Amino acid sequence: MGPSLLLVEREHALRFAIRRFFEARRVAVEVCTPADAAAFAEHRFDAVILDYCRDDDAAARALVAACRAVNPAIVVVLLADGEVADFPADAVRKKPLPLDELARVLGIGVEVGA
Amino acid sequence: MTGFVERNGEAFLRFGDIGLAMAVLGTDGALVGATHAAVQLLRRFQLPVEPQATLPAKLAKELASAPLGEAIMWRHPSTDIGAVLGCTRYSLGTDHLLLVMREITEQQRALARRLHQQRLESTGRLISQIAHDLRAPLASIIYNVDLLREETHLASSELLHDVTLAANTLRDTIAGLLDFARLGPPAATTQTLGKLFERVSGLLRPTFRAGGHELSIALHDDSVCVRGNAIAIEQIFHNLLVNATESRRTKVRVRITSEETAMSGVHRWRTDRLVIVRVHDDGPGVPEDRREAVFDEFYTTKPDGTGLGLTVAREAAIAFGGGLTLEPSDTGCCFAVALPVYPRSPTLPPAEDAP
Repeated sequence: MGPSLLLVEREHALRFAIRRFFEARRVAVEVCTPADAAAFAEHRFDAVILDYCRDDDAAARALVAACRAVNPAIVVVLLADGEVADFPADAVRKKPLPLDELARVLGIGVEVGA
Repeated sequence: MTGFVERNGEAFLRFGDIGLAMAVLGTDGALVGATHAAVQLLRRFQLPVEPQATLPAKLAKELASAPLGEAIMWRHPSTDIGAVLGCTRYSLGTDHLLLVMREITEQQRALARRLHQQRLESTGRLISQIAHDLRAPLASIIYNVDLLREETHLASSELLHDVTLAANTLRDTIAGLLDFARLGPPAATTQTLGKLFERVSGLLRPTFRAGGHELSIALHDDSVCVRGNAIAIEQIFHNLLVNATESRRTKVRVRITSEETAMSGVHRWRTDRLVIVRVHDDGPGVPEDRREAVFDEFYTTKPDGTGLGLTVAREAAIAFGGGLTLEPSDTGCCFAVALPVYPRSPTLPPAEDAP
């Protein structure tokens, strides 16, 4: 069984593309919008990709805290428009990050089927 | 010339009671006539009001060199009037000049500053919104081209490669717009001179290319670090370079050099070094008596200038613990920007965020 990923993204087209990309790499991907993310807070994931918006800062922090409570080793990657101060993430990257770079940041094999 | 009367030793326009502060000067700078409001204003600024009196040499010279219809700001050198005199001259036949004047108080200047800042912030918000709106569809293009390449085994497709290149260029442009839009709450970052001038010269490359201007950059050390709001620091050099290119209509050569020097005193930057960056052009230069005036708000010699470029640049340089001066130069202008050198050692405590 491959790693599991929670993708929190506002845009349907991006959820579709990122999910498809990682599923091709045998990653189990759950996708949701920030509004629905709380429903996944108690699930166990190996990584979470969070589309960060300053307006949702509190909710994003709460989600990450909940995910870390379930899996302290979870990798948290924030996709943001700019610098984000003091967010408990393993990596913050500017959007849009090319998919292969996103995979590298998450430590997931870039080649299909890896 | 008709329309003027002499009354009690003062030169009045016949319509002396109208509210506008207007004066008529001969081409030699001698006062021919003035409205009542102008006489009051001239007196307030301790300027002569007698017929045929001449204006102070410095003011007369500034007026003579200012383009018609363009305002100059004049401050009396030896009084502490909390205001400046705004003067705009117009041609009045062949022998006379019409001078329209108004007092500009510190409060008005402060209001203009705030309005300018508000305009910048509004522009920033607008740019930010547009960039956000563009980002999602652009990301969709980038991601789906990636998927298309992968799933259709078109990895070597030139068409897809071109789409990716174009999308990445748009992505970088949007990132630049978002950086620009973050002018509001300043975030201090450390950057090297090399990186700083790479960005500034990149932004102005089209301007230099379009005008046939030349830019050469010879830094003493690319890796010297400065700290502050990156956008504001860029703006200092952006404004200086734009000024240089607009100093004349024909080709301008601009040379950027740098050196390090010791800095005296204790200050919040926790460094004892300054980097001096000189922006030197071969344009027409600035007359000796206007060297300080160029930093005044709303001072401009350009028809569409705001007169704020050098003011903003100097204020930013001072805010970051340095300064901006116009140095004497045999040819053209030489602006020297001083900025504290930020230590590269990670063991030093971080500097306070710059305003």
